[in-house]
Amino acid sequence: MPEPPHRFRRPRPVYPDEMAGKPAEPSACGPLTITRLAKDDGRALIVYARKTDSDAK
Amino acid sequence: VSELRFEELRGEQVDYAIHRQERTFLPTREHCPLCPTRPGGPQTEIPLPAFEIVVFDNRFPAFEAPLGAAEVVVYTDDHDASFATLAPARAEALMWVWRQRYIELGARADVDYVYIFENRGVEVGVTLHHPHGQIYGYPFLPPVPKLELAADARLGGCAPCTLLARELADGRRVLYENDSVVVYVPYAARWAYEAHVVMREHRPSLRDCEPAELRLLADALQTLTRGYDALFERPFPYVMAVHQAPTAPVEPTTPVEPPAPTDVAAGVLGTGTGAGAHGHLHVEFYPPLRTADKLKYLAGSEQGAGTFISDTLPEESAAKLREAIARAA
Repeated sequence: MPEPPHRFRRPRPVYPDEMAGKPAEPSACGPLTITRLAKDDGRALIVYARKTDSDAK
Repeated sequence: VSELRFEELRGEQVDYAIHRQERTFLPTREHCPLCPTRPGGPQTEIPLPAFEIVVFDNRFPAFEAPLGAAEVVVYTDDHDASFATLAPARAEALMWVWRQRYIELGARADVDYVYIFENRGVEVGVTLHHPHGQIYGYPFLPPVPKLELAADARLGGCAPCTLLARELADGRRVLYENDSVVVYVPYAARWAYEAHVVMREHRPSLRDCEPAELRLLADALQTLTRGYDALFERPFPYVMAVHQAPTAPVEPTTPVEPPAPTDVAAGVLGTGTGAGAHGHLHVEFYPPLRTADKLKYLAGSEQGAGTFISDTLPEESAAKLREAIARAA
């Protein structure tokens, strides 16, 4: 069987056209703080919480 | 590890994720893997005693790096909540989480399309009752968003912009409006109570939305889902599908331009940007119920010929849904 077409894809920039040149998202987004953890088996776990007054200081 | 095979007759990918056969199936609430890990209680997927919103890699992924992604989004630590019953601030926060995941996953070279969705109810195959959604990062552009891009080309501009203008001009199927979002049963709905939640402005993705638009999107989504639950006075099953711009270049690539406001107001076709309108953020709901206790099945015509046969008229469904939304308000 032929390989699926995507396997022959050429590498492309990290950001596609419409995102090019825009800065990466910081570790906080909008009203939320982001905490990144790793589970015991290595899978990612991201915890989102609304910013508190102390976060803003 | 999943394997993709290309089905030549339909021209589509089929994903073989055979490890998913072993995934957790309708556990008791005492063994819910999406609840917090309480002191002295069993270890769950979330090693925290309480949380607001969490996202984690699916233990039984349909896609995974280096060919895509599969994530679980847990809306709350309250096992008995639902999207509809979240506090408005939590629903708004969820929009920001969706946005952040769209941006981060979409930046990956192995993710061409970020698809955020929720399956609600055993009728649509839910295996965990705890309120949650999922995100798939497809390593290719799936058929449905591809069809939407084809609609852009067919209508000569952004198809959702054009269809929104038509629905507003007609008005019979509109369910709810706020300053940024319109909810309607589409003219050619496939499901009895299908509804589309569409941004008024041309926003290709959550990334392009203003904060107030995210808040009003959450408001519209909750208004609809509360109306759904009021319709038959029971938890209403649905598939909620967030459609956004692909995160990989689409051929032919032309600049994304919104339709002129005058054209939208007049309900005419798009602006002649051809296939350049690369998506317009909207959320589609596919509820399987056609009455309080009868399901619509995908049978011979739908599966074998690709043509939906509907037992209801969208205008009549819209009238019932408007009443339900008013009751739930």
